[in-house]
Amino acid sequence: MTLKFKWFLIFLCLGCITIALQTHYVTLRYGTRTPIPGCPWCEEGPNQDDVIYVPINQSVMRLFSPADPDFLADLLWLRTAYYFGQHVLTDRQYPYLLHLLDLITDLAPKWLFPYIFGALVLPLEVEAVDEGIYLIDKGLQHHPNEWQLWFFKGYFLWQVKHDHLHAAEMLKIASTLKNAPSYLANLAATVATKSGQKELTIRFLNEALKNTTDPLQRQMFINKIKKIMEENL
Amino acid sequence: MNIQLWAIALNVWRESVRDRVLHVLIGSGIFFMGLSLIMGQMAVGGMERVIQSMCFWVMGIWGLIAVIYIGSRIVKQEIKQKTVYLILSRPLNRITFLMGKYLGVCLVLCSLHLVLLLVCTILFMSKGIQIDGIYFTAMFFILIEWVLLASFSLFFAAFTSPILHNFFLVGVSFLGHWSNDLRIFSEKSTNDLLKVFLKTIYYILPNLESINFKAAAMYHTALPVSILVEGFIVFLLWLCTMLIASNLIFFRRKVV
Repeated sequence: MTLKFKWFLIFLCLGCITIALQTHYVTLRYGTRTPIPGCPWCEEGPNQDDVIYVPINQSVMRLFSPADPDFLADLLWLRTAYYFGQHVLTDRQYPYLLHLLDLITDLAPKWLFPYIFGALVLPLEVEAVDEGIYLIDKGLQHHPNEWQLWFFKGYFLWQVKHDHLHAAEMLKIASTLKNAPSYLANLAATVATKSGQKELTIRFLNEALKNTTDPLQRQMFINKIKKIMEENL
Repeated sequence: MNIQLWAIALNVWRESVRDRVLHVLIGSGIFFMGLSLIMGQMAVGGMERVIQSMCFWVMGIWGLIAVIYIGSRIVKQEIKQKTVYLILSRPLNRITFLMGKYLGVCLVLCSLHLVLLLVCTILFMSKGIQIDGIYFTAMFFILIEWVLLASFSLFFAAFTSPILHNFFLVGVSFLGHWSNDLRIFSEKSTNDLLKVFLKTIYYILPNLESINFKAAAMYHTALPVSILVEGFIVFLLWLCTMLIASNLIFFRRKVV
């Protein structure tokens, strides 16, 4: 047996012992892994990782790579996607979701997607409407021309907060922005009607009429104005 | 003088190109850029973004690592191996020696940048990510940052040990990118001493964040030409200042 072969055998044995001992140690340290049915990558027991991986604020995050806040935001986004997926399939509790989204949007304020994600998920899945509106407001500071954010704010004010007047204003702004669907102008007027502000409704409809070229839609707005005015008489 | 300068620069370039550490650096940079494809698939609705941000991150950090590695050895190794005696005993002044070394480092950095830029561009094109003028502007200013850091590296290498050189260089790079935060902290601070300290750091270090156009490239934000021109002028001024300072120190240093 050559010396080289002997050393190779020692290396092989030592490697095997190390791996076996590490496996035992990991089991000792974290316990036996019990996957949850329906979520193959989730384990039973408290999710301690949630706390470990949430940084305090964006200044702390930026210490790691000051020149690349967008990269840090992406890393956090990967973590957020995993966090959301894990909890949506298990306990449906998301105590750190707003904080994560807040951090991401602090690091990459020009990135629209997290705002849209938060605007949808926070009120609808987490049932945290105020937090959702907070994120929408934050998004509107950086993306004032994004109709979707105005629309979501208007929608939640209308459906959840029952603040028809403000909801109508939000929807009206959304309807005037680029790429906004044409039904928004009509929706804003409908919501304004619900608020009892008929003058406001007519004003919305008149403005919508000015900005619409589609004859069918124009006729619809004219009919609606006529109907409201007749009701007033 | 020009021939001597180029001879030293080409020698530095040749030595570095043969250096296995730099091969590993390029290889790992390409590996991380490739890794962004996998990470991008894990990011819901952000694949393009992840690829872009990771490539820009690699460009920034790998440059700093390259400057640290080359810069810490550039003067110290010559003195340690006593090859500096052979060079300086010839009819060659110290300025030519130092500038030749610096030019060589810049050539190595340009080569590294070119390779990584090529890989990054191919990756972007393969994924249909928009490549425009701002992308190349951002990449150019990343190279500028590397070159500026190389001048700081030369300055530190002229009078400190490699370990201190590395600490100082990382400090300049990180504090340079925290410049705007330092200013905000200094304005908000109630402690006068801390205020003065932070403001001093803010003014005596180059504001590297001001020539960081990665975000503009990612969001395709148009940049005014005046910003780019003035940024470039500021870079040139910093470069000249640091090169003069390096020469002043090296000129007085007792090597032979």
